[in-house]
Amino acid sequence: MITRYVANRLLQSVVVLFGAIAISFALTNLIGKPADVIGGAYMSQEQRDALNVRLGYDKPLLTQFVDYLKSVATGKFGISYRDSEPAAGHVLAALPNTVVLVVTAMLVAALIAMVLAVFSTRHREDRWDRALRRSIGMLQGMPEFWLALMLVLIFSVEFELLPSFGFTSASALILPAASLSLPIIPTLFRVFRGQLLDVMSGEMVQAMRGRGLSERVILYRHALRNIAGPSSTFAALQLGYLIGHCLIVESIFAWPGIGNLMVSSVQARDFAVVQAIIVVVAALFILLNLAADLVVLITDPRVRVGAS
Amino acid sequence: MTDHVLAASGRKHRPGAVSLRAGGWSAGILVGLSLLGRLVLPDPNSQDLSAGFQPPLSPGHPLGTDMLGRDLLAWCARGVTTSLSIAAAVVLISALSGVLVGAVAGYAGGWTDSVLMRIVDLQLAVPPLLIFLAASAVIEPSVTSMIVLLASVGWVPYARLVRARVLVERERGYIAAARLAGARTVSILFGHLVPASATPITVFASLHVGFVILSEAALSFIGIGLQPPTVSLGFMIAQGRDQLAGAWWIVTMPGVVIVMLIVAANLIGDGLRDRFRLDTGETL
Amino acid sequence: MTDEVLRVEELTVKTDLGVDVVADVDFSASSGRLLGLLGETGAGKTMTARATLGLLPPGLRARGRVRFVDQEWIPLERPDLIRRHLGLTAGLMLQNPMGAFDPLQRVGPQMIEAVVRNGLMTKQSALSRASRLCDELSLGDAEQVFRLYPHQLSGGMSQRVALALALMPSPRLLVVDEPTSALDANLRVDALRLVQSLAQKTDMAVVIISHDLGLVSRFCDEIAVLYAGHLAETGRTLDVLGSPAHPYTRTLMSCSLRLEGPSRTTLPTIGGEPPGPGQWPQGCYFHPRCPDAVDQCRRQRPVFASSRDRARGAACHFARLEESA
Repeated sequence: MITRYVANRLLQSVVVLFGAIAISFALTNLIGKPADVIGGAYMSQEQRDALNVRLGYDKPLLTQFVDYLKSVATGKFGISYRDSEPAAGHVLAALPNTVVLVVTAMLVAALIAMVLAVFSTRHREDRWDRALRRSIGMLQGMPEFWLALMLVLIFSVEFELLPSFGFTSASALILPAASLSLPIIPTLFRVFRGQLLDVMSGEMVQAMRGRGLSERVILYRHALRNIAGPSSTFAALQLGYLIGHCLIVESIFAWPGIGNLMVSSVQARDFAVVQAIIVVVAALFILLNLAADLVVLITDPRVRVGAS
Repeated sequence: MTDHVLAASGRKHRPGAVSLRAGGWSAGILVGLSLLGRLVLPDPNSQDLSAGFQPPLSPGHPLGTDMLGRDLLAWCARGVTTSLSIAAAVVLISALSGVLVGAVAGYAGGWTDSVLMRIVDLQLAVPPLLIFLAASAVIEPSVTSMIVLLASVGWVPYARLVRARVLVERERGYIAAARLAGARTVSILFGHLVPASATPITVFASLHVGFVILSEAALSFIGIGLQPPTVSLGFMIAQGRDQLAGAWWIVTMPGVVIVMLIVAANLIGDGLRDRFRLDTGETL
Repeated sequence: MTDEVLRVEELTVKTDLGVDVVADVDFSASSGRLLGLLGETGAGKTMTARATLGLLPPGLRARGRVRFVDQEWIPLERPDLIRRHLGLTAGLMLQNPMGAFDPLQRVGPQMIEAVVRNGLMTKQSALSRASRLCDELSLGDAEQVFRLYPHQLSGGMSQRVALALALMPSPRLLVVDEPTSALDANLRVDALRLVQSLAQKTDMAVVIISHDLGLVSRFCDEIAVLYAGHLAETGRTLDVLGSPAHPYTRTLMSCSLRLEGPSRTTLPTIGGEPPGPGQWPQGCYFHPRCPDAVDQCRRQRPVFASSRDRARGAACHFARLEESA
């Protein structure tokens, strides 16, 4: 039964990945002949045409697409036009840095959101809970790039506590991760809290109270474990959002990750790298989500052991 | 039966009233001030190099000026209208197209539905910001391109919402009755199914406004969004980025305004959600 | 020997906004006997039971008092005090037997969790008690059952395991909530027969909350009929259903079809619907639907009156309460 689920998901993932490849292809090739955009006003028409041929952009679109698919399948994403190195290499070098940042931010946000959700459940509807929920709403409105700059202002400029440039040390992770994680805490909090409240007002908890189990035991030893699965699944879905906004945060902190690479490639019109990034990011998201879902499934005895 | 009694119990006002009032007032004040600003304040784009880097509370510049002498209060006030008008346009277009697609996909089912769901997955997997960034390489930044870009991604959640609602509603008795009575598909779709989704759509739309404001600010910040003479709050934040040490207000002021706008939109969205007691799905 | 295990007096449940959900209910349960709380959906029977056990959901408040066995009266406004009896003197069994369990844990640890945590027995003695209960309830190999996850139990098994779970602390009182929906008919009967025999064997009092007249008439020794949040009638099942004192009970009885009756009759029903909380009519709450209502019924709310030996009671101006034989 698990294998059928996995097969299904893989199939869906392939479709989505294909879509991502198609999009990245479409963006760069359909909207305008790249050489025209690269060269722009600085080249004559013959030079632009020559460039187009050199980069292979003169062939019919379908041929180009098929060629592209073939090369992606073999892991070749084309050549970066800036330094003639394989685009894949650039992306793979920058990938780990982004992954570190995104995963850290996600873990921090999930942890804080869960702690707050538990607090909100225990103090349900009293004034502390209401104050908490009102103030969390404020966080949601913050653009992470602005938050990043404010944090830099306070911690780097005014008090010179934390580094704000590049991936120099572990402490350099703090400000970027904070800027990324704070804005998603409200969403995670709201969902975790909803799930927790649902469980706490459900049958299982009623029965447990009926047996004389204390609220604390019910909450920590049963309720939390029961929402771990759905919470993780939801959190994993936020990764896409996080990766997207990581772009901006990276450019602020000069973090050597994919975001920065993307920005510089876009500015330099280095299409091979841009395409590679889109596909890799999609693949990353799909993989991480698949992994998260599988972990959740495998740890659920209802799936693992099956009905008698 | 006791459910609705329980639902109404323990509340002194109608649910969501506090949020709605707070959000409504904040939004109203911001919009009001912004419109007032058009009449009273100087042109945000007018530069005065001799008055550059004025800190807040300087004479004639309550919020200070940027490096080119542009008045920040005027800039922020005008930025509010820019953000809100773009948000309104995007939300409107997204909602209309999304609802259409979602209704058709949900009602017809089959492969139109599968295609829609794959698109939803795709949108989750490939961060829109990434696409925008890539697109900016080939598109000239302008208000129109910004609206098109944001709407091209923004319709998906509406489609998903409406589809989910339609899937539930189409099995209901009154739809079968309508079909038997000979009602045409179009009228079923727009007369019954779409109105049934009206409330979740409204709730999501108000939250979507905040999201669009954020996206536009982010895009303008990295430089692929709006540029002068269009007045964008995100753009000004980018301007002030290198001046953080010396002139912190250039970054702070527009940011605070963005936060206020989004918080207002979210308050309204939360209030609406509470009022209609909705469970609009985890992704919201 | 039948002594009183539970007595509830003047139980009232209101919402935080002051809307009455249940008003002024009294009842009691004695060891070895089954009391049925009968009422339609929305009559307030679930809230009554919840209030008695201190398990009201947020947004509702209770007034009145409750007493377990011969202990001190506990005000219903103090659910925290009442809850101390849960898992000790009082046990609860819910509609869906499978719903009592944490799906992520095996059955065994969950059986002993509550009693061990509450200090009633050691882990060892809890395990042996659990095994003994499984034997008594014909659950086969206890060790094997304990190793299973809740979803692996079949319908009938899960009902018995849930029962065993509720019986672990040897409660004096067992409250069974709507033992009707989640199971097939034969399983239902099985389960209730088990409960009945256990009650008599262990001198345990049972309160069964149900809307199923057939079920209550078959298994309960005593019955309390609830309508629109009020007590309509109480007494021994035989008396109440044999010669009902309240028009509602009378109409309920006439609504049930008999095997011996004519085969082609129209289904008898009571017109209209029971009033929900906040919609209780003036005067007698049943008068709009009562076939015997007169002017007085519209003007004056009947007081619940008991027969001299308190074995019977009804809230109707025209109730004739014969002393039980």
